[in-house]
Amino acid sequence: MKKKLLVIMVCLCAVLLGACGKESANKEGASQENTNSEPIEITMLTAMAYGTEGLDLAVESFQKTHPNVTFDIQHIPNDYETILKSRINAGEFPDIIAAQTGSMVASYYDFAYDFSEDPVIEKFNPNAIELSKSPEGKVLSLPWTYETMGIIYNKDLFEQAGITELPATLDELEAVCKELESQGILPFATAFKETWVLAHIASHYMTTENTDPVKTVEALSNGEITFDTMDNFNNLYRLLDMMIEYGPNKNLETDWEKSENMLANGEAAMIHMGDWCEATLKEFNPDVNVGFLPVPISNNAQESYLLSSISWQLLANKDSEHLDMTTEFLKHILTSEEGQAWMTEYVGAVPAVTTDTDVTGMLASSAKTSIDEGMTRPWNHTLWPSGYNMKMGAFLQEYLFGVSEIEQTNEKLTTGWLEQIH
Amino acid sequence: MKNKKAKGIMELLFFSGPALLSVIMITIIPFLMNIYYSVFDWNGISKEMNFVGFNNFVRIFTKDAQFKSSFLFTLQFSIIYIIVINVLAIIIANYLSESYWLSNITRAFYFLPYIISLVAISLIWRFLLGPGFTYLYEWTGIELFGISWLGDPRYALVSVVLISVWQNMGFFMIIYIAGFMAIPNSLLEASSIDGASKIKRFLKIKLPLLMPSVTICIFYSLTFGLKLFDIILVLTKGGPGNATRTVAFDIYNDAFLSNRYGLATAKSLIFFAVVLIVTVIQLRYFKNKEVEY
Repeated sequence: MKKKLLVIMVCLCAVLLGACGKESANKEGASQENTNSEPIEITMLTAMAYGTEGLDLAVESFQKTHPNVTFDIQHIPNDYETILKSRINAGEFPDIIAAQTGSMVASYYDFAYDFSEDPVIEKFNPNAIELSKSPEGKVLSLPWTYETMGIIYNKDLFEQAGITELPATLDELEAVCKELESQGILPFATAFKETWVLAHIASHYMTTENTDPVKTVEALSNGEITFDTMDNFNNLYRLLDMMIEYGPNKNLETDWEKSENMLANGEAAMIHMGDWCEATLKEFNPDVNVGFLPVPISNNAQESYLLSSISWQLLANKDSEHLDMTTEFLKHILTSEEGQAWMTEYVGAVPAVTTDTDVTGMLASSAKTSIDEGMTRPWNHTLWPSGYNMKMGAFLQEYLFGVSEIEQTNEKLTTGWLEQIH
Repeated sequence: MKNKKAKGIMELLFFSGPALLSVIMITIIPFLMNIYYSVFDWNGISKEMNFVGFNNFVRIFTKDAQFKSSFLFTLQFSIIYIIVINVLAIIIANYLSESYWLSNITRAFYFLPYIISLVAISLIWRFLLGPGFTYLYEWTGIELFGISWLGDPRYALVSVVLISVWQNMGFFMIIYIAGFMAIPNSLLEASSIDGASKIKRFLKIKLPLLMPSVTICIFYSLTFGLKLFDIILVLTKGGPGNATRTVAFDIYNDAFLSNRYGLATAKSLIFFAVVLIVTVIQLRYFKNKEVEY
């Protein structure tokens, strides 16, 4: 019996030692990287789990010229930050990671490779590079695509209800809701369970004081503006009330999947979401026919906007064992023909890189009309202090089920903001 | 003699070594690291950490309203949970400890939920309480199914208690069944000869003799209640609003979503101290209540 145990222990030790041995062998391989024949593995972690077939094609085309490189690419839509942080603290920083523009990407600058001197940035839309710069003006990450958000409406349902003119003010929106309801169509299915959806909706009402998102955030942080003095912020509550009144029964249980499903299958006419949901909508219903409706922030018909910005940045780990290969690959998937197709065709978004390819996305093209009409503003919610999204969402949920009134909610929002930055 | 002693030590190391090693690696070392991080202002990512001394602790007690409210919620949940689960488990165990032809199968059914992972259970219940109940409501029109069990702060607590009780009751029931079975039959027979009614027999004989099991079960349910996390993460994410935010979830939130790793570790230390004190008091108190026969 004892002997058996001993044998098991010895085997275990052997396995452990073997594992260590393997690792050191890997490191030796790294030092000889430049011979171009050593196998290299590049790891990449993103949160964008849609349109990934396009990325696979871009990877394939890269492998044609670099047959010695293999890839470990993972897309994690839920709890992405938690998983990323655990990996980092376990000492496994992936070669390439995705992070949201603003406060999230800034927290990873310690690890980011500096692209400021790299000619590749010429290939990008100057505005996109401007949005990707660090406070010191360095380009520490490369922008992925533009994303746009607003109210998304089901065109077929609107047509069925005979609504030809899109609402441009809050009053008109309410009239449309009444019209839809009278015809037995559920007007709204907002994903009120998700705190981030609430934060997205609220951010529309935080653009009036200053259209420059950086300045808005600064002004909030140094107390120049507060939520109760913001011009249009109280109109947010009117929209939320409307969404509740003309929404489904269990409003606060609606999560993003359910909300998108209801819109795609014609069970609800409008939701608040961004163009990133198009791939999901098509999964729920391949024949879905939707478009953007700028969010009215007051009763002035000129003041209804979509919010748009670069949402995701990709950054290369400057401590990567195969830094050259990593940056080369990153540039390939962002700028090559196949890479552009990933963004335009499969994700269906407007890429940050300058491109001649047509954007196929229904929502992205719908957004384009608004951009041309000047109905778009840059969003600011990704610049808020980390964690404020959730906090704000929870406070607004408390308003929705009547724990606090408008005044109290505004106060909580202001103090919550200051708490989060100090 | 000396040889024998050395052999004894070797044997001790051989058998307890692996366990000791894993406890040190996954409990002791992280705990010490936790203490280390708690005096820094660190976001959990960057390479530099600012030493802030006890500022994190001061902040928790002076500024952090969220910590206080999550603490109160956790206490509220724990108290309700402990009472409901132990009372139910004792009642059911009392019936199931008497053997009849179906008792084994019935015990197995009660125990079944306990062997499924909490995350899977929470996902199942999320479906049942959400779309499941909606369809039932459309079918039957019964008010109970029309309530927004997860979307209304008044009912969210009930849902969380219900699910955790349903999942864990089997485990407590087994402990109580073992406790009931250990009560000598002679005492029960003597009492029935003396004319004690069933209820009296339960209250005056079975329950006092069950106290060792009660101590263990209350201990387990107390720690489970205070550390509640998985159900919250999957089922409600602390919502709606902040209505079901437990301390464990608050700590997770601070560490991973608000980028306040230092603050979160400080919170977890305070929380550790509270759990330790509460459980020690509980164990002492209930140990005193145990009787000998």
